[in-house]
Amino acid sequence: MKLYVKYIGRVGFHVNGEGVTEQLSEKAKGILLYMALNNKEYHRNQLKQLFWCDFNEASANRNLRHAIWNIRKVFRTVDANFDVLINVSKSVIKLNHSLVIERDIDYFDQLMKRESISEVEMNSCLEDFGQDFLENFFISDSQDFNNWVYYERESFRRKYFNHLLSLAKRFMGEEKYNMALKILNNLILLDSYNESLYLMIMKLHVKNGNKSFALHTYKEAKRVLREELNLGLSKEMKVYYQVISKRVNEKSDLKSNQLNLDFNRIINSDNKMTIIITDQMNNINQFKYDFLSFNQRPLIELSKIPGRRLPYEGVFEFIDEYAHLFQGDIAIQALNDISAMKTQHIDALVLFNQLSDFLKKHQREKIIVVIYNLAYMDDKFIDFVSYIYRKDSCHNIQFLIAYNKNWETSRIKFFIDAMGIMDDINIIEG
Amino acid sequence: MDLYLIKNCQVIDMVTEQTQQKEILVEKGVIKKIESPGIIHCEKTYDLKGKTILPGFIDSHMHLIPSCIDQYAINLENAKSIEEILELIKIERERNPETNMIIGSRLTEFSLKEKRLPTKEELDRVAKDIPVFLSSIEFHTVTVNSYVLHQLNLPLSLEKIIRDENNHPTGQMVNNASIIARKKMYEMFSEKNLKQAFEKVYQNIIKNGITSLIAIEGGFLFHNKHVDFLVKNKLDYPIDIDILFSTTDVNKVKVLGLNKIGGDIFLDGSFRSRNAKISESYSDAPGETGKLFFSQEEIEDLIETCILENLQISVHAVGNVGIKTLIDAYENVYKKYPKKDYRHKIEHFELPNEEDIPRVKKLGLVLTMHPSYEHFFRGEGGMYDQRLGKERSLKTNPLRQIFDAGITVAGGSDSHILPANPLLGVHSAVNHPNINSRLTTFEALKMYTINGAYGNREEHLKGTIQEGKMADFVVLSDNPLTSNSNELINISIEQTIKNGIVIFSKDDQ
Repeated sequence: MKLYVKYIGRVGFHVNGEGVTEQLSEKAKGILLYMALNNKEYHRNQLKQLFWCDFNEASANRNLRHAIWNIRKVFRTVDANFDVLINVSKSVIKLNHSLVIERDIDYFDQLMKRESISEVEMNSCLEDFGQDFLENFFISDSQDFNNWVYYERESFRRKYFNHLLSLAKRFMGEEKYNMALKILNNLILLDSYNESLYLMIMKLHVKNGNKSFALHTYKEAKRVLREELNLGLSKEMKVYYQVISKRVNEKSDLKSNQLNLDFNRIINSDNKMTIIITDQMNNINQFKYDFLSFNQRPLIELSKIPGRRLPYEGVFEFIDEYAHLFQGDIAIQALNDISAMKTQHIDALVLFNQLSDFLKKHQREKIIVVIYNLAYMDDKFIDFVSYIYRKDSCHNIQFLIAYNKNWETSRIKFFIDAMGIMDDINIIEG
Repeated sequence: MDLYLIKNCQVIDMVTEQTQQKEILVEKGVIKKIESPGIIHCEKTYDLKGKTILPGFIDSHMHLIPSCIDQYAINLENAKSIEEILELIKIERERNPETNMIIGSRLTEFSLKEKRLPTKEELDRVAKDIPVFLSSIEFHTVTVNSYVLHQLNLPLSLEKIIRDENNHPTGQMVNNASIIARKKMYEMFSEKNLKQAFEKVYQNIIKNGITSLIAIEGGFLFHNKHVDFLVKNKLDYPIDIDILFSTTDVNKVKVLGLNKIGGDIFLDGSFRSRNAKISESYSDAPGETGKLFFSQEEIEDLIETCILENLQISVHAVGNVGIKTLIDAYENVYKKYPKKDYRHKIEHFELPNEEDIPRVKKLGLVLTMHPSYEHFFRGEGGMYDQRLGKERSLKTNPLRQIFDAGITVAGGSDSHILPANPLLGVHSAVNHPNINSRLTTFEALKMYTINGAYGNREEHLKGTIQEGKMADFVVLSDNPLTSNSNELINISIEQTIKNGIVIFSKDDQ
């Protein structure tokens, strides 16, 4: 006979592969959770104290007997001859020694002991074990049991945190920066006020060649700590921020841009969109180089590589990049849900509407969406940009679009003509 | 009434320190004309029967949503024992069986015979199936039952939950953990209950003659969803509710279309919590001098950002070091930008250094102060006395010196901490326990009228009774300018008129 107990997330019991959770009373579940975790002998008085401490002796006895009967009955529905609870003596019980107990938390321990972990295994680990120990499992009249749950929950959370932090450090050592980043961004959800996590993320972004993400992380840490707890950042964080800001600025001084663009003025203006039109491909490449050297704001880069958006459309590329930029932000789940629709056929208007609503609600720090070559984007994406502009749902987004005139299509021409007459759109030709 | 004449009244227009026999013609919510009796002819008249009329009161610092939540809270200030607290919770549950959470406020262990706070197990005895949150007076500690504890999910690095000898949480949370617990409480408080409570709070506000207020909401002490609630619902009420969002996130404020920020941006803390930053130790805690929550550079950065974003900023500063730090910050930032009529603010300004007062004037800062602190916190054994000692507590809220320096001071009630009652504020300023800090009645009334309007950049619309301004009035039973100073507190509000419409009348009560 095999019992599988799911301790992480919503509680679950399977006997020989068959789900039996719903057949157990709350206290029967509690007893089974408690006994299956350590699998020892238990005095009945101990169980009565855990679950019926406020009951008189007779009532507590009766309730315990009933819960034990409930547990036995559930196992007997699978095997009529199997007694899951053995009476060691009149007052001591234990789980049948022939019962094979499997627990989800054991898998976590095994995984953490392994010398190497693949990306797929890591992803499923984050998904399976990122939830709480016995999530929402609370028996209102069983104070001692609740204290036990609270203690175990804290212990597991700490263990999970420490193991994953070690794993992230291991990945950093192996230069698997994206995997390390994914872990750290998950840990931030558990401990959103932990400055050292933010600092590690910043350093990883820098190692990964993504300084603007590092600067964004700094600002996010600053915002969270100030907004939630009225705390400032540590000196270490500030010094590191200054170091990387300086590096970004130094780089921008190396080369003046050939288009003679005043990025400072463009970015700090109230314009929602700037469209740079040129007929020289060199200018577009120069623009890309110069802009990246200049920029310190959170950034979404689109059309960096031709064909990147295949097999899915440019709108979903935007969604995924946006979700990546704000990973760790709990509100992004809604965007991930929209992203999951990329494999389905979905009406463009429905998609635009959902995205527009999301962007309206998700007003965070100002970000720049830079499109290095508008001609690489599909018509649907151009429709989408027009839509959210018209719906006024991109308050915190500033579009910076470069466009090679030689690659003009009728859709692009229509877009440029329509945008060209708007007050808050800046068109630069060069 | 689109067009009517207010007659038979004593007008204190708050332009001059005089009481005048005038008649006021109101058209479509605006003061059309003011003349001596008998000059204006109008079919419809409103007879004030000789009573005194002033501009409607402006409360420049009020916590509106926490005041609403207080409507649901059990006041534990006078509880003498843990058993009494449990009994009060039991009574509340019996009185309102539908209630889905228990909130208690103003709990202090010092007044309990056990000299300790209740444990979660004790609270579970009377409420194991619904959330219970009990807050201390200064929000420093929150005590919860097991039900709440299991839902809190406190971040790992927040080790501020108190544990017993078995390492089990007692249900008491301090400092940062208490902030998280309070946020959870606000999240659990339903919008429906908030709306019901809002109605009661609104009635109390208009009963006190308030026609405009600045609601200080959101931020780390409260909840940002309160700002969303107010943005959504404030237009349902005829009074003007301006929102001061206590955040440092400029983008959030801009997105909401607000033109001001702050209020409860805590540069330092409070005397009660002994974290207002002062130069000499607290009298009852040698060695403790409070705390600055921002570095000089951080507060200057924030002010600079607000100037660049064209937002009016209000920062909380209480102790003399906190106040000096803030004035230094304004001064440093103003050096970078050509001086304009910014009207940035300092909230509270309770214990300034004498030499810093003229600097406020020079910088054109506006102060929001709360004279009723002197009414409630002063006196032998009072909070000021305990924390600051006799000599230093004589220097709190030096209104006379501030007015003499020519500084504009707006008056705020700091409700929900203290009552939303401008006349109590006037009384407290005029009867300041320190004779040298007292204001005249006219000056004190300015705090709640024209100075409030000026601080909110609305002096062209409100704050005085002048032609072209909004017909916002408060009608008083007696003339405060001719009443004895110690009788001011006994003056009653007869009517409150907003945009020419009577929204409160004592006769209807």
